[in-house]
Amino acid sequence: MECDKWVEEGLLLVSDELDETRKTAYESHVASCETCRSEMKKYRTERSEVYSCDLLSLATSKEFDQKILDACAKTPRPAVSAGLFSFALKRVVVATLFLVVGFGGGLYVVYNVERARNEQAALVVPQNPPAAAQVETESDLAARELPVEGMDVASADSAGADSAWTGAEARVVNRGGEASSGVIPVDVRGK
Amino acid sequence: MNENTSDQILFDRWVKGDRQAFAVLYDRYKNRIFGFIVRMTSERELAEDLMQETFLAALRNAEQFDRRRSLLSWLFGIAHKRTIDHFRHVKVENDHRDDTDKSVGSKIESPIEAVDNSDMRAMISEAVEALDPLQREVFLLRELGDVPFKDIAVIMKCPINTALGRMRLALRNIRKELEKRGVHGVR
Repeated sequence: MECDKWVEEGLLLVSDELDETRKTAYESHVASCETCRSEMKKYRTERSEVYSCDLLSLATSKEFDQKILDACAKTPRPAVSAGLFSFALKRVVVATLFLVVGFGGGLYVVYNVERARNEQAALVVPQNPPAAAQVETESDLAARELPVEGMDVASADSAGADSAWTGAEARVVNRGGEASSGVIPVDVRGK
Repeated sequence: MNENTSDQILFDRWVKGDRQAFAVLYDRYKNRIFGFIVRMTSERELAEDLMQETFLAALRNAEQFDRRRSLLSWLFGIAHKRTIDHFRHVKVENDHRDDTDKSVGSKIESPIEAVDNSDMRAMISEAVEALDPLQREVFLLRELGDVPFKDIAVIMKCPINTALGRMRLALRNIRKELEKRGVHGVR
């Protein structure tokens, strides 16, 4: 190591910052190096005689001292005894706020997304609308060749071949004994 | 409360409102801190303002003080920060060496000390003032504040080897300045 570096090791020795290993190495070097030994001696002497605290310090005036004392007396004291508590409390409060804001924000987004989906679904027009309910009119019945309510078979037959009836009327009796009438569309005009 | 009461005990009492404890602490370190600030700024009035800010900041940030550290180191760290912040604010060019009007004792010496001013004190002041600002700062932190180099590195935001290098150069340059003023070698 160059002597400059050993000088710096000497500075650390004086400020009591050298561990035992480095201290031993430095002392071993100084024992054999006149330059470093001289440098260390000079430095130690300068510290005590040349640039001691007494020579480097500067005194303040009494008025200024009183001004400082008064200013510090007026300054509110921090809660040092609750320092650790307030340290932890601040962090808990901040963390809780983050959680609440984050969670609330997330819920808000989800709610809005769902609402948008529902609105979109409501706007979709179905492609095959159901058939409108048909109201049967008398003409519909005629087209389907169903007798008008109240007409029996006989009256239908007596209408003759010229009748508008194009089909023979049939009478169906179901098992329950109830009779219902209907028309079987048969073309009998040619007979 | 005697003079040997430790800094930490006095500090705790001060923070709880004990004015007497603060008075003891202040009296113990005021000259060193003031000397540091004055030599960094070369202006007494400005140094007084920064000194007040230093102690008020120490009180406001008491909970940040690590009681394993030296109180004096901590105070010097605050004083350093206040000084640097001031220079950043006003953007004063760091040209102390060229300004002969500001050199030495006449402006920075206390009016009280001027009566008992020794030649050596004046010469030391001149030599320190002539240093490069970074070297001056390391030198003052170490010699006035008794701040360990590892803390100096933190305060000045540089590697410890850089702080050591600056200190080595500061010592060399102070010797040269003293030799110019007729102080040759040290017994």
